[in-house]
Amino acid sequence: MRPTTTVPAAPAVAWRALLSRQARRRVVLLALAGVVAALGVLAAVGAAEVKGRENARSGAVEPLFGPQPGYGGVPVFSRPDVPETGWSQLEHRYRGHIVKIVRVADPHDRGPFPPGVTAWPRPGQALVSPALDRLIRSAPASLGQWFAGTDAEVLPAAAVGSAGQLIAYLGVTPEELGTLQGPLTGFGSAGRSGSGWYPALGSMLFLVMPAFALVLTASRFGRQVRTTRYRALRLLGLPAAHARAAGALETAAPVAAGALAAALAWPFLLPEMFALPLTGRWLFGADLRVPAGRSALIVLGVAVLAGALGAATASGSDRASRGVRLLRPVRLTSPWVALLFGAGLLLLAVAYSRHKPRDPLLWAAIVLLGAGLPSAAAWVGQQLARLLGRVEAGVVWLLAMRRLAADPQSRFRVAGMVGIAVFAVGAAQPVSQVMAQPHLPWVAQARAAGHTDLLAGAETLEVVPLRLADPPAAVHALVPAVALWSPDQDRAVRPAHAALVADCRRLEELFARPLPDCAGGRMMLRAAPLPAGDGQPAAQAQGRPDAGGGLLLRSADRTRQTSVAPVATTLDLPADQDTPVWAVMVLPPDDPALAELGDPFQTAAYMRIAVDAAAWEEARTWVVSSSPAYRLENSYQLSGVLDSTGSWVLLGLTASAAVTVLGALLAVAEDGGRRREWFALRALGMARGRLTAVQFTEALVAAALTVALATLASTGVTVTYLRINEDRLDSGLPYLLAAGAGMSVVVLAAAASSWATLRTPYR
Amino acid sequence: MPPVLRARALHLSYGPAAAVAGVDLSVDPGEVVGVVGASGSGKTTLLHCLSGLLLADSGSVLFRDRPVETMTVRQRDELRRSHFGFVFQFGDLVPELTLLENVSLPLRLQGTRAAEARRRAGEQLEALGVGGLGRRTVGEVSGGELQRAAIARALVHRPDVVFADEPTGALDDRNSEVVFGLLLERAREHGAAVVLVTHDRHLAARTDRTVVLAAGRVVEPA
Repeated sequence: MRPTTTVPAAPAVAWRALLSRQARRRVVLLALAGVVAALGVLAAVGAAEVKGRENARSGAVEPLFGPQPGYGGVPVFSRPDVPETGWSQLEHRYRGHIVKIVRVADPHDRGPFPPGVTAWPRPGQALVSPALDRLIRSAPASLGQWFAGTDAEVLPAAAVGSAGQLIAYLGVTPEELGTLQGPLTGFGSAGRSGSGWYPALGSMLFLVMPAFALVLTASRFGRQVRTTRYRALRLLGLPAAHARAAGALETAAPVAAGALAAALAWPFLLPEMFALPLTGRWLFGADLRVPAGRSALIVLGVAVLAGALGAATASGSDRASRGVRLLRPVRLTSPWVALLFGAGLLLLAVAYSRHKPRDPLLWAAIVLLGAGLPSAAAWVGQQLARLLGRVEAGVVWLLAMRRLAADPQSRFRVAGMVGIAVFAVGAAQPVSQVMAQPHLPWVAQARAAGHTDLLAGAETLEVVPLRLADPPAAVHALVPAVALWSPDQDRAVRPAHAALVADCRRLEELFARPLPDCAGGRMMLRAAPLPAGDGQPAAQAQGRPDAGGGLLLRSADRTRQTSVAPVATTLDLPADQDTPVWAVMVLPPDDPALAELGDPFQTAAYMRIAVDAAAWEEARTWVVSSSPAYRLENSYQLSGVLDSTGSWVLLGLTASAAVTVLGALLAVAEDGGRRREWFALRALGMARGRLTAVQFTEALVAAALTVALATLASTGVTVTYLRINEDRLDSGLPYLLAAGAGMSVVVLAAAASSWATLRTPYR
Repeated sequence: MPPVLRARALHLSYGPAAAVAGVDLSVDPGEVVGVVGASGSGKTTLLHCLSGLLLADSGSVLFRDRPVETMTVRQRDELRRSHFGFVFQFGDLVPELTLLENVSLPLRLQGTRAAEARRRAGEQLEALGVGGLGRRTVGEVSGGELQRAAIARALVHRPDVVFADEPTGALDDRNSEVVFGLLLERAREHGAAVVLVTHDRHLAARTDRTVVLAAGRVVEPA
């Protein structure tokens, strides 16, 4: 006969359970877990929202133009009776920063204006972003010279795309601007509306594992008490569904309360927490407000996850109460628990051998390795402890190894979560390193050909002539890239642009023929994206333009252009020396036409030049000898990463660290309920120091093994990722730091656990 | 022969409630003393005070005329390790170790070599009738077998006093009889005194002397 209840049993049982004195610590910890889990997801969602808001600001919007000259339109300002606004923008590099300089001519104050800007600066005036203003004030005079004689005002913070954006609007006269562009007609969104969600989803994926582990650990806290309670209630006739619902409510309610508190506090936390200066910049330009509907969904999602895990406990007690089977903890005795990790290693090996850019197998391997790490570490730890336990090394060693072998789940709980964080740090290292470099096909090919020192570039185009005083003849023709630094630039900072100095005369020497439309001497070359069928035989390219067309040359005003075929006799290439070349021509500063041109101007063309090996070597030698040796510095890379996607990486790592610490707290609190285990040993006369040694030995073995596995996995990811991207590791320091920090966290957790478990009234 | 253990005017409180209130007790070498009383009468607290696990608020415990309360923590650890043995209600063996390893633990803590400790532990288990279970862990034996192993662990290092806290409380009548009989028999063989805490007056009747506690006070000394 089914029992009847006068009130809904589940809420009543859950309510009583929550209010009991014994549950107080569990309720607090569950609420904290809810706070941290919700904060992590809120931050990721909020950051995605920020992207959308930033895209709508003036610094991020894209200008829209009328028809260009020569394509049905007329040059801007060519009709004196029509008020028009002209616009020209160029991105300069300065010490690893990208400075966007917009030259705008609005003689009639007609606009259009982007959000946050009410009037364009007059000639001789400038509007600079707050970040650029700070940079100008803190940087050496070279940057300030860019704006010498200009009356600069600072844009309001809300008008720039992000707080760290370096942008300047320079007022110029129509004559200074030139007539290359159609008139400015308006502004459009810089990116697609959902562009911010890609990294946000990545971050959330990164957060899922530790957040799940955290809520799982939190929901398991006090499991024995709850199992006993629900077993007793089931024996008294409480329906199974009610028991499960009560278990779910009992766990979900505190987690939901914590998540709700986090969602409510979120708008007040933002201004301070996410405007922290970081290497001179800010993480996010806008605040990270999350719409109420999305916040509610996040709270609900976290609570549902906790509820499902809480229901599982009651479900287990239900089975036990019916005597179907005893409630035994799942033992990690099967190698199947290491399946995820093993599959990750296998996919990694396949990705390594495939050597394929943007290989989905690599990313799948990363997810599998991260997700499978805790269980794999526990299983390997169990096997290792069984082996090491055979070594006669005293009571401490015996107890530690036996405990590790008997219950690896508990022993590796903190270490497993730390392992995820260590793995994430290690796996993020090669990604950030590659992201901090230019994605140029020729870079990869030049590196593959052994020319690793040819990665170089200019800080700004203006400084090119300062570095290239007297390049050898071979350089005129063949140098794919030249190392360029400004005179006062730190040599440890990587230059960021490739350049070739040439003019019409040199180009004509290069191609051994007169170039049509080259009278003005305003030519430049630049690599376009490689055409399909990259890697064609050298013989095909020798002496002929490739499938992408010949060498496109344009005059500075874009009114004259021609395609020129390289001359085979000049560009003779031995077999297997076919190398795509990136080349840029920059006008020397003393060129009389410079005033006419305004800024150095560049346009793109593609050429595939068969390179003579001896000439290449000559050029390479010159580049090496005339450029200070440099290696990519992690400080630079970190700075670059912080500027771009580092915000997301940091966000993920911070959340991971918070989750790990809270997970460790939960584990310590859980250990605090197991003091009886140690009491019996104290009664036998085992000194407290020896018991502490047992706990520390366990922690050290677990930490060493887990961190070693995490470092092994992240190193595998690094090797594969860098091989795919034709790169090499700059520094192993992040791995050492991550491993050291990971070990420290586990040992600190063990110390806290030791304090909690040995803190008994038995003196 | 002077008493091996003596308590004088022991007093210990948990907050306002006195768990042990002015207890005087002495235990002679080889003597079996039963401490009986209702739940909450202070039996276990008294046992913890006598064994040096707890320090009383006032009064004194003397082991062979050496005051326990003046000993350092390390000396009290040494005292329990070398001179005392313990049997708890649920055995409280280390669940991750085999019975053989559990029984050899007191010897290993004293510095005995592993092989020698295992040999003596095996003999002790054999004597208690569970010699064939040495390689099993705690979860793989019955309650009675577990308590026999616990008795073996309490006696393997030949202590002067064995403290037994409800050693048969978790066993059925038949197993209680067997285990209790073995405890007394083996303790007497080793010449060890036994302080037995129990609420079972039937078992207490088999001791040499019985002390009855109520509200922390000795109300019926033997």
